[in-house]
Amino acid sequence: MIKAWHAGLAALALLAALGLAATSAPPAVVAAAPEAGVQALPLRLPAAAPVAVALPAAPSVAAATVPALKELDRLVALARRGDDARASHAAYQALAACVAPEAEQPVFCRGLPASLLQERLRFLGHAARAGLPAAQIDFYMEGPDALQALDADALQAWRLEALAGLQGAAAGCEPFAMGLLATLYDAGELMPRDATRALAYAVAEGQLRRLAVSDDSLRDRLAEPVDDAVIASAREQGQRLAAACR
Amino acid sequence: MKQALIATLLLALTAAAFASEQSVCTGTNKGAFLTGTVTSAPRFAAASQSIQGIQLSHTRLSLRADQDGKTYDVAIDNVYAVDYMKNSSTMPASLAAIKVNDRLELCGAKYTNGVGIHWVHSNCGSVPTTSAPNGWVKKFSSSGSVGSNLERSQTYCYLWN
Repeated sequence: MIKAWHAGLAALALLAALGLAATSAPPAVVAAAPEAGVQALPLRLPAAAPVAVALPAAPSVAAATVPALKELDRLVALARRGDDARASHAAYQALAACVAPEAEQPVFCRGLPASLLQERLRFLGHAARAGLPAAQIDFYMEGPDALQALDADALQAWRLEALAGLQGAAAGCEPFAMGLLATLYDAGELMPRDATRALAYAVAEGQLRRLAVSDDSLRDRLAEPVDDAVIASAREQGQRLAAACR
Repeated sequence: MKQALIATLLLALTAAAFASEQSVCTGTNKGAFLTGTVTSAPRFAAASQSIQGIQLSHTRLSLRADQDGKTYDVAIDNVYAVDYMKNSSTMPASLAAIKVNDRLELCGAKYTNGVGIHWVHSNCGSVPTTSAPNGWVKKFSSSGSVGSNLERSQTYCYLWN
């Protein structure tokens, strides 16, 4: 119950922190089409809402629910208009908290229609396509729509969009996106394995986080051994990626 | 005769590879090295703590070690699996695929209390120590070759940096 209350307040804080200004939209990065050799795609479960800290005593359910619902209504209305990427992403985040395990759901989730919860994916897609890095990362983390028929074409389309989104977020200098791409290029989940690109993103992430990344540490990230030429090439590419963020 | 020679050669190569893996684990990586047979299937262990909203869940299994015949509790951090999904309430597919009677190679830190091993994962590029080694979980194939480290992801290392 306390955890649910925390999640509720986290969502409320998120809602309250939002402005109404539309976000700027950096150009989308076009990804190369995945080829043969891409790993089987695991389905994801909804992520839990972020957990807030140091909260006051919980007021009554009704007092906590009503303003949250009003704010959610406002965000959903903005998201449905489709011209405010931040509002779309905020609406997605608030609704995503309502598909977490029941014990972790904020109180305002009670009674929300399933169709609205499902609509969160449309909001997320809009925010990600508008170039919002956090939404581009969430688009990958959310996984493909589990309620849609997951045929090969739909999966391929999702992979392309997720990859383009993560590349966009990385180009937007988001180190977590770089770290994800480093792992994904090694694992081959969205694209065929590419050790050089995996390490290039690892190098760039390290530079953005101001961490020294040794050759041994780079080699440890990969499923297969690589020679010194691959490491050197990856370092060069990674430094270029990081330099674009300065 | 020719088949016997080839078998002997393969055995020698496997033994050499094994010795190399052990020396990397206990030397450079400062870990405790175990090989053995899985005696209980992996199971999901929910997180008892989270960092920055990331729940630190585990996959637990039992392994009978070749080295001392003891059965070890193996605690594997899900967040280092290459196919970890944020805050999932199920095991990463790569760890869930481990089955009873599979052969594993582990590099990590033995429990200071009880028979078990943990920290069987990357140490995020930090200088390894015996309590925080640069560990791994590797699965042997049916031919006896050892696979890649299932616990090599460094995506979430930022949580500790």
